[in-house]
Amino acid sequence: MEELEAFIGITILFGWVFLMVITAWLSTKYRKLSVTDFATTGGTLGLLTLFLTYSATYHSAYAFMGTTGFIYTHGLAWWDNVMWCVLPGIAFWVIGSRVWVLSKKYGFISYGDYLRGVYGSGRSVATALSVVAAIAGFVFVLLYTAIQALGIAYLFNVISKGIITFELGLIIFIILMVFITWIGGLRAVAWTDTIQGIFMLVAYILGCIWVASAAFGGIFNVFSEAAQRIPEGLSLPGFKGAFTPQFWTSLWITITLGMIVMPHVWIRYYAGKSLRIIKWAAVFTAAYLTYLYIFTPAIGLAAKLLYPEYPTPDKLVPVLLLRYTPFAFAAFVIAGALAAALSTADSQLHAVSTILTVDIYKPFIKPEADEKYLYHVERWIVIALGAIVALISFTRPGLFLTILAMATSGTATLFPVFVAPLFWKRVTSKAALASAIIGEIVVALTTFVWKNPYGVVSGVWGLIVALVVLIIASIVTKPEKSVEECVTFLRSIFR
Amino acid sequence: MSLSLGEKIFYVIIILAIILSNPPILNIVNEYCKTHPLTLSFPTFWLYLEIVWTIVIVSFAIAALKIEKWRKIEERVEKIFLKKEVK
Repeated sequence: MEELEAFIGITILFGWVFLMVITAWLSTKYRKLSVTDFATTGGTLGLLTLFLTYSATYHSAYAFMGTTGFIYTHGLAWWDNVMWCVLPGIAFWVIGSRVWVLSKKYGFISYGDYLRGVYGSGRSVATALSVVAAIAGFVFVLLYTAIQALGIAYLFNVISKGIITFELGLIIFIILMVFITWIGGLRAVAWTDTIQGIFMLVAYILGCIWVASAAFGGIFNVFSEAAQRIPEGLSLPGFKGAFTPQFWTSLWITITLGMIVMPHVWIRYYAGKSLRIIKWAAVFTAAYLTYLYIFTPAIGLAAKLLYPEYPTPDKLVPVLLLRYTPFAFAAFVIAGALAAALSTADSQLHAVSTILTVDIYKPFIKPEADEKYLYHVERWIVIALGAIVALISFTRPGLFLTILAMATSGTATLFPVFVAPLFWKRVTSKAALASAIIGEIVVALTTFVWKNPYGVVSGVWGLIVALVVLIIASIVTKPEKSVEECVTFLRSIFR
Repeated sequence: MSLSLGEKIFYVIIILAIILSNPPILNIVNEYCKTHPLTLSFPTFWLYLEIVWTIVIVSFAIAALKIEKWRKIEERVEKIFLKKEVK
């Protein structure tokens, strides 16, 4: 029996790996040997691909594994999530459409070249700003990728009944992530994301319903038992009392704004075929991100009722699946968790490789490099980054884990710098640089020295300071032509 | 940048949703949830937020369909960029 289950698990696993490899390979049919195509597909993604790559990238392994652990730990205070599910969809339209228009006008394809472009009048200051953003993107996103790979690799072990070791699972995951990105850039990532986005939605919803039905006879029974046995989990401040009003509000602000300007999310604003596609992708994204979680409360509360003292709540999804559903189905749903992780990880790897190629290599090492040359450079960078991710994952240095603690807050702090030049003519490059640097310092201080003062998440402190610095410094410095031009142009379009 | 009536309604709905999903309004709802943990067999707290944000999602879909200004923006952009690319 054990051997048969291992065979089924490995078959499902390698079936999934095979499907991803074939999909990525098929995408190369449309490949052009240019860095623009590699980084943004040249703005050719249609509605289904764009909305599913945005959604699948946005929802990481956390969507599958972490949310159940979150409900287990904090009860339905978890649904603070709803704001960072719907608002990014709306931001995709309000902010993403403007970024897309500027990318069409100025040819932006990366994180830093957007900043170098809109703050272009600031010359060296704009370059410094793009480097700060590139470093922040590189450090935060790459570490996130490594930690995600680490967190998910044990699922290979679970599905294969121990035949695939944790280390081998990690290697398979990283090789697959590198292969998809290397072979087709954003197009391969987006195509595989499309399949993975559909797969994770179906697998996760079915998994939640099956577990709730098998363990309690239906989702309503889970809720009714939870209301009797653990009622404190059905309201704020949750089981541990963590969700105070200030924590609730500051958490969704930080995560929403931080995610909107994360490099792997930002780069997707350039990838749509038209504004109409971006608009509808935005609508579907808001719905997808939200309704993926439609049955999550049932499985999270079921976990709490069934295992009140489980030491690692983030690992409860596979535990519940293996106990309450047939092994083949459990393996299928767990493969959905791998899809959720891979769809984010390869997008992050792609975004970081684009940052290093377009924002660091081209301006500082070889300014005369053409599109084709940069395309080859970026593919080598993908491989090198894959090796770094493997190194971080295997060695797990404590310092990196510490830095990761400020990742989302660190990017949320950059939100005003990225978004202000879309709406406000008066913002300047000097103000933006000061805002980014001072904001990051405040985030570091409120993450490590004075942790979350007054119960407010560090990202909000960084954001407030960054915003104030940006406004005051913009007013006292000389207006810049490049920002004025961008805002004037956008106003002429969005009038 | 002037907002059309449709845009104004849409943005007001978003602002209202944010107000309804945060303290102090959320604290009042939360007090009710403590005494009435379930409504229609669903957790009241979850159901409340789900309804508020479903209204936002539906409004977004309606706005995308109906707001004439957004359609004109699309046409304007198409004229400037996409037709140029075809040439």
